[in-house]
Amino acid sequence: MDEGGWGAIPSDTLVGILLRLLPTPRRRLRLVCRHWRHVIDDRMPAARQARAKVLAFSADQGSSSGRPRAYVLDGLIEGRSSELELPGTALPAPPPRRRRSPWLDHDESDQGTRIVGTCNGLICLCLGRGDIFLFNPVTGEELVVPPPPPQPLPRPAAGGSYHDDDATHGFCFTYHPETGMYKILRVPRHPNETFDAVHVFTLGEAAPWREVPAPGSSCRFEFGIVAVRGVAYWVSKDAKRVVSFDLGGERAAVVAKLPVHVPSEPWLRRRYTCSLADVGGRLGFTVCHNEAMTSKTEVFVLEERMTWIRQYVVLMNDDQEQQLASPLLAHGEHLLTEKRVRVTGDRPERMVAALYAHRPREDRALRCGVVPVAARSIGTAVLGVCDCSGLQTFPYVETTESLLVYTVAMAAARLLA
Amino acid sequence: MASAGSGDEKAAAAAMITLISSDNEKFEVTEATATLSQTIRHMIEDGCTDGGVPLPNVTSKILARVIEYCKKHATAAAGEEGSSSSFSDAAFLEVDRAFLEELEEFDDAFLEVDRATLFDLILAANYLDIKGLLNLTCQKVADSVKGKTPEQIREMYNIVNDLTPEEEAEIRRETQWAFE
Repeated sequence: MDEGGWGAIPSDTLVGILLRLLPTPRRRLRLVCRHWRHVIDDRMPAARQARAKVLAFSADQGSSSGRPRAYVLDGLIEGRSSELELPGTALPAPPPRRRRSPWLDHDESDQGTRIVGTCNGLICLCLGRGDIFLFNPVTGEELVVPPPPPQPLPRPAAGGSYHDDDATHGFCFTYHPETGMYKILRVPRHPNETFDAVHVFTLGEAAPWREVPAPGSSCRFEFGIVAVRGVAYWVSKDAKRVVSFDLGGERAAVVAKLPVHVPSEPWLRRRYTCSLADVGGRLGFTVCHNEAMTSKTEVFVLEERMTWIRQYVVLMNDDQEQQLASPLLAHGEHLLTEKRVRVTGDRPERMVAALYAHRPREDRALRCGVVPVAARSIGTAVLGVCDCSGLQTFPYVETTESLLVYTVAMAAARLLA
Repeated sequence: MASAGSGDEKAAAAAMITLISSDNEKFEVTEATATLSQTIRHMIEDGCTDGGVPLPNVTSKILARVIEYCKKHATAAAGEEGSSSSFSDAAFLEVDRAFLEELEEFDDAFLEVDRATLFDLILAANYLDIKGLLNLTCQKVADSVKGKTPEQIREMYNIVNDLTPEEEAEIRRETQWAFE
């Protein structure tokens, strides 16, 4: 007989077995064989093919209310949004601190709460100098992640403006669809931006943070670290190559060259702002060329064969002062931009951040989608947040996926240790 | 639970049921043990257990294991009934907890079997309609596929991948739902 004997198991029993798995990991088990696919498709509570929504997160620094806030854009274009209730642990805010130059500056504070990333509706938050926890807004469950191994703090480069948000910048929260595992990656931030190993934390696993070799690696942190589909990406120190780190096999590899040449001379670099991005579930790379009165941002997307295609070009009149949303910059058919406005009418002056959605028009000559942003076409304002110095954008779905299983597994592991 | 068992030996002895495995081996069990199986309970209620209950789908090897499970859990069930009615003091709850822990240990040890046996137990539990055993064994299988790739699962259980590459690609696309 065939060892294991699934053939004899009645469908009802298979249903009984698969119902014991969480809906999201169960979905991918349709890849096992036709019978399983059939049973999961037809007999399981409809795994909602929910379209991800946009989650906009407003960090707390620089705001007088001193509180991080998160909004779910239920209807993007209609501008329908609802505020998410963040867990209590995220709220004890540090005393409000005025940054030297919050204006159009990605320099986030090391204080306060930030979102590391979102996966399937689970939100990974980072507090202060690096306390990490996971949160499901639907169930209200929280899970505290053990602290990662300490790392040498970088010394600010001479005269340079090292962002002091390194506590969060090296982190990346991923869901690996093949194994159904949630993992957090930490790319160590050494003063010379090189390293030989990264740190990985697997949710629910007994081991704390593991050191995973990645010999001879380097990371240009200012370009960001972005995870899509269980793979984390960053740019090498020389700003030439994209490095991928597959959270399944846990191996680093160079996957592509950057689509454009990024000048290394500091005086030229100021005219280019580059960053990795999440373009609706695909890896993107944005290059913003700042000219005198306008800026042009090209958005490249990494295709499956590891080639870049230019997907969008955003032309910005300088008076509009919008910039591409980050790290999620596209949702469905829309491109997202963010604008920060200083409202000086009342005292004290307040910062307002607004999110805009643009629908690119197909341009035959450029063979990509084009978004012109000018006074007459500012896009659709979809969210405005007062007392907010900047928004981060993420994909989000409501999920009842419980964090309890992981909490229990980790508590049990601690007891045994 | 001790009281429930010691009550009337004679009545218990009188209510013995004979189960006959597919390879014609006979097993004598108490009615309390046998009625953990809904299938057998219905047979007893219908009065058609004289001369033994033939179980053509269950081998003696598996039936012996199933009976082992039922015996243990029949005592547990008796204990639970006791606790709900007459006993409520702390001492009893203490005993109860110890017993439940013991039962859990028993279950864990019971599941230490090879995959073929596990599947046979599922089939038997399904056929005999023993809810607890079915739960236990299904959970064990569900735990074994957690965190595994589809490839690993196929390998582990000798499942042939009969999906075409196109179908696979289709499923992979759909699994990316959280992003699109």
